[in-house]
Amino acid sequence: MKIPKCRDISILISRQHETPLTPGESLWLRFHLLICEGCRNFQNNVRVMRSAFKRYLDQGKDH
Amino acid sequence: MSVIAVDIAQIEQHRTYLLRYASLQLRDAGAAEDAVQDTLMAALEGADRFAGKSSVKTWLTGILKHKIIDHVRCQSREQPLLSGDSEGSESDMADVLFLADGHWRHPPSNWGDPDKVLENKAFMAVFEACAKILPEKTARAFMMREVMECDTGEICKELNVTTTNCWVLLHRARLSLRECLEARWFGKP
Ligand SMILES: [Zn+2]
Repeated sequence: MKIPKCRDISILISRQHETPLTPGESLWLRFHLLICEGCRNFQNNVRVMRSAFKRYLDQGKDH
Repeated sequence: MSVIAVDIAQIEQHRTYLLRYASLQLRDAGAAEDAVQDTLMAALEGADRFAGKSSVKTWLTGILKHKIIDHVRCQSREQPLLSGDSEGSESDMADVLFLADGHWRHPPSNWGDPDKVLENKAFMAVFEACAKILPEKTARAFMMREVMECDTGEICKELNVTTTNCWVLLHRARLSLRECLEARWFGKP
């Protein structure tokens, strides 16, 4: 198997929110995140966007 | 004296929340208004059936979710969803965002403390604008996932796409929304 690049890793970062990754995929992801700041940021950005949807819906609610 | 589990005022106070929920999903202010109106009517008619097991908000959201799915179903019957090509293929978009060797063209930046970002009203306005300009089919899959919290199976069924296709749509949605936020908010000096 060829070494996954940021493009492949971004697919895993997204897909892990829908379905668990295979053990092999998780390993590649963990390894890649150790060495790649861009993908670490992408992972955090995706989390922020998920929370933003919740926050957006609850904005300005009067208890 | 009859005891009504939930009254009009309790239902009305959730209108804004429901409207936001519907407008993210339907992208048409009129259709969103209608869906919310229908929901409130149905809720009032069924108020005596509200069991009080969930919160009023959860109960109303459940009704609205059905109204939205009905609306989406009718719409796709009248006007089938655009096929993938007319929204630009996955590879087209990825070619813009990634270099030929698979690296990010512009690596995502650090967005800082999420709580601080999300508390900012101006950020939330940009977020709304960015969410509303996603291509139609991409947006529909994404909102079903993030707003309606459907699982992949439900999304595939409603949009009539394969599981793999569904993952592609969600990946594309996250990349696009991220690009928009980066450009309009985080990229600013
Ligand atoms: Zn990377």
